Amino acid sequence: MGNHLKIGLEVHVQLNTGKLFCRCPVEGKEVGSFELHRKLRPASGESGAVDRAARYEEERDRSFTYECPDNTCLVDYDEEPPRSINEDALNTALKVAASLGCTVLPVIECMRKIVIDGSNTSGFQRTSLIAVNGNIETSKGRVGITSVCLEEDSARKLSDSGDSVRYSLGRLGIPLIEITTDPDVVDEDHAIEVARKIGLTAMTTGMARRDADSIRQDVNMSMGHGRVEIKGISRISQIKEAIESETERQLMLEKVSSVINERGGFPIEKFHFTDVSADFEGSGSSIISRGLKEGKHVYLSKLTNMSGVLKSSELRLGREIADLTKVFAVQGILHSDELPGYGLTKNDVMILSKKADCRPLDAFMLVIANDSKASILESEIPARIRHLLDLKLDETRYFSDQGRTAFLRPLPGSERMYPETDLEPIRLSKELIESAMDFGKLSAEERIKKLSIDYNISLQDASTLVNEAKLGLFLSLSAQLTPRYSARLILQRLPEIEKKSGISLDDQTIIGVAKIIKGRSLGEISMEAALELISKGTSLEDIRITDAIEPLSDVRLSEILNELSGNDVVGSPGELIAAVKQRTSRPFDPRDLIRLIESRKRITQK
Amino acid sequence: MLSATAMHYAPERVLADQGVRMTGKEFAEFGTRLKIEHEGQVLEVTFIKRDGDELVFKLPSGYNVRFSFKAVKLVEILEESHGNSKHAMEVATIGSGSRKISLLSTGGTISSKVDYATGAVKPTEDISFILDSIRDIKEKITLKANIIDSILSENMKPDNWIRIGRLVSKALDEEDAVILLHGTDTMSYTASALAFMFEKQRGPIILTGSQRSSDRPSSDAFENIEASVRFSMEQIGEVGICMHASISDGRSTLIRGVRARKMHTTRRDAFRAIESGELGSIIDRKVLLSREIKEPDEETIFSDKLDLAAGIYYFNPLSNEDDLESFSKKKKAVVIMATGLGHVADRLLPKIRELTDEGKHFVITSQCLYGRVDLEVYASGRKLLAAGAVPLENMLPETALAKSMYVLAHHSDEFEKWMTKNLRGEISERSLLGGEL
Repeated sequence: MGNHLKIGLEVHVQLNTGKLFCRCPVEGKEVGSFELHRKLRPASGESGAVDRAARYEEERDRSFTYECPDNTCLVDYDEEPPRSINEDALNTALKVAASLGCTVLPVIECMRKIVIDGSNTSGFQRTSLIAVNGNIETSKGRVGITSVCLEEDSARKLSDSGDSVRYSLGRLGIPLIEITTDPDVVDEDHAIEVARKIGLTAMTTGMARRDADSIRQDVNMSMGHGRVEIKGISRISQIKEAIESETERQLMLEKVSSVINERGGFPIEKFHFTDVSADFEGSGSSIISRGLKEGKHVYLSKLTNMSGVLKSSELRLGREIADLTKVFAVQGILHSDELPGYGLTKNDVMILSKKADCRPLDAFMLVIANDSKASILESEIPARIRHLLDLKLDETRYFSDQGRTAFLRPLPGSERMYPETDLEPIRLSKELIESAMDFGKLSAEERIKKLSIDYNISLQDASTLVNEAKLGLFLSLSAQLTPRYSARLILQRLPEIEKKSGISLDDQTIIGVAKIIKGRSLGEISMEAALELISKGTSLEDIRITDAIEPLSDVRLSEILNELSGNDVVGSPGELIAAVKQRTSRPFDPRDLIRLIESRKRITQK
Repeated sequence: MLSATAMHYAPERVLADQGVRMTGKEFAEFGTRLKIEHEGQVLEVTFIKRDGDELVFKLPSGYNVRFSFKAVKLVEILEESHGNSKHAMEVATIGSGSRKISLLSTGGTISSKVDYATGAVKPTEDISFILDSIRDIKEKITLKANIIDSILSENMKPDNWIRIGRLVSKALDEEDAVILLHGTDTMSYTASALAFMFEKQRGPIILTGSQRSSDRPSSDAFENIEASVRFSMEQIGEVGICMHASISDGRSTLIRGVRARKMHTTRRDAFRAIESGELGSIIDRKVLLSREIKEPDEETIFSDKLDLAAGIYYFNPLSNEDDLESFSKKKKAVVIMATGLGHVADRLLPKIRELTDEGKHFVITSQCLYGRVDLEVYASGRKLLAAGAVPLENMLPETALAKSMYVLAHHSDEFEKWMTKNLRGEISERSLLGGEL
């Protein structure tokens, strides 16, 4: 690995406080019957210029469909201005900032970050810079914290056909704390350590959302060829893969660049498309004949000096070009390094090579696309090749399912930010900042220890509750049930219930059940019986009134025992418990049953 | 005054400036790149503005930060401002097709942009951005855009309607259709007033606006203008309002101005044809016109006379004779928004009788908006009729106001006859079930 490698992280933590700019809950049920259709256009920032990443999205001219689950409202549909910021979310962001040793800004100004890939219905993401200049200690030295921001999460992408994209709005507007580090991360393992440490800090607030993708990280890295931002790394373990894959790619591009330079370079002006559709009538290539049938054309261009670098054992410039065309929803590209093949014969290749005026070191490519797409690609492809060969590699990439990074869009500039004019700046009170600073005085480890002491639970349980983002649930449940039982319920019984039903229960539902149990003066076994019913589809309203969660009385237990065996108690306690369970759907405390059996035995012995 | 050496804005300096409204220019020009020191940290920033006691800077990341004026020390000017590269466009013509369309901008959200110096959304003089949205039909039309005003519609007055009407009338002498960009708040008032003032019109007059300003990527402005251009290609001799038909893009509606009403504060589809009056719709760029649409006239006849002595009185349980009397004082015609079928409290009847006898007109519309008033069903309705009030069937209150102003100016001696006569489709002849309320 090169000496120039610089790595920084952006860690995103979802909060369970309710949405950031409306009063919708974080959790929702997909309803699916209601959807919206929209288009987006770029808008210019304060200086009047349009951001390059936004302009780029505009050229893609896509349409967006939004599914609207039951935790969405007019704010999510961009049909109403934002409501005031969620104060719990703001307080949590301040606490996290203080814990990371940051300086909190005196005035919080909400900005609009232009994002027109459809992931925000408004065409921008609301984001506020909360604090700057912090640091954390790690095993490999101090890592600077550039900034802590509080932003809205984007809509979740459901499908993408290139020209149209489908999103669900359930996730849109969930508060997201974004923690950005300085490029102080030294290697892949260190990146994982830093991400974990930051994540843990956020989770000790008890406000982190408990969900599969509630913590996500982006990697910023540079090997001296510009900054690459890699998005979409949902698991911490993937950080390592992403960095390795990107490093490999940049080393490959260094080689490609030097090979092409030795050959005399890539003259950008020699790249132009010739429509060769007529040559392919009745072609044996299915990819081409399908395209022609759809009304597309086949375009040919020479790729000067590129023979062998598009696809060989280690050089893969062709894939870089394909990543670009994919962004414009053009899947049909072929280049001479992979031909003959795809139904094209050796003879076809010779004819095309001649037509493109190829000399021995030249390659050619075919693009199957409609006119408008081709005219965009005719300028985009050579421009991108130029960038890659000049090793100007700064861009936004994503970590794909195939375990490699792929082109997403150019890096956005500062032009993409302008003030959210629907919201007034927030001037933080001294008390608010001081209470956050107080929170920040303890380290994450110290807070876990304090949790175990304050609630009289084991250190192990306290640590697991925090690490699994179950602290918020624990704190809420402890107000209804005893802390010890709350911990046991969350860490043992709940996973069992969820595993048995295959359904995961959200925090709000569990807390709702606990409130009902407390309100009905019922106990632990009723709590678990209620959760089991909920996991089988019973509603909270039914839990409020059903008898099915009330424990069996001693009288009724005795009756069942009578039915089972007359007055003679036979079988082991375990067998009897199982037998009683078969005869009733109501919960009962096995200890009660054993007590009854014991007393019967005593009577019988007398 | 700035120098390249470090300068501290001492508290004395600020005190000396108090009482004088300071502008950002006293610190630096918008867009100047600076190196500043704030609480021991040195930052490279772009100056945006001064806001009271705070200075607003943009960080290289794009975030704006606000620091107290006193806490900022200027270290160095890195780069002078290049100024704002945008230039205002007063008149623009696009296309060279046969259909001639005049686009007149009066202001409103549709032609508003963020004013970064103050952070507020304000009407802009520059409307070139909206012309991008009709690229695909450019060859069929010649569209001439003019900025005739720059006001938010809550500030519109009858003077503005008359001025707009004159300009529209002039435009219709030369062009085939007129599109009017207008704020949405009072758009239906303006549309109604124009509908009555244009006794004949040789082409469509279409008002359009937006509920999301055009500085947002999701703005409805682009599609509303595009749809208005498509409607202006059609044979329509009416004043209409063109807006989104749903909260999704891709569906637009054209509503007869006298039957249109803004029914939501923020939604894109806020404008509804109340009971009747949908003149047409556009679904995925295809225009569908209603059969009840009025064809264009041979000529345009515009009358610029309106009588301002009219008003809308909203009856409610607190209403009494005194407030009705003071409200009616300088008015010749009062549109009463009555309850239900068209009722007001018995306690107001003597006053209505008295004022009617003095020559004032009371016309009755309903707060229900949907449905016809009928003063013959209940005793209180009959008493109101007996007191001299005139029921206006299902005419909308705002339309009734505009119509009163027109009728007072043109037919004051036959007020009742003209008010109850259906002039521009302001009364629905049939009571159809229609859509949701």
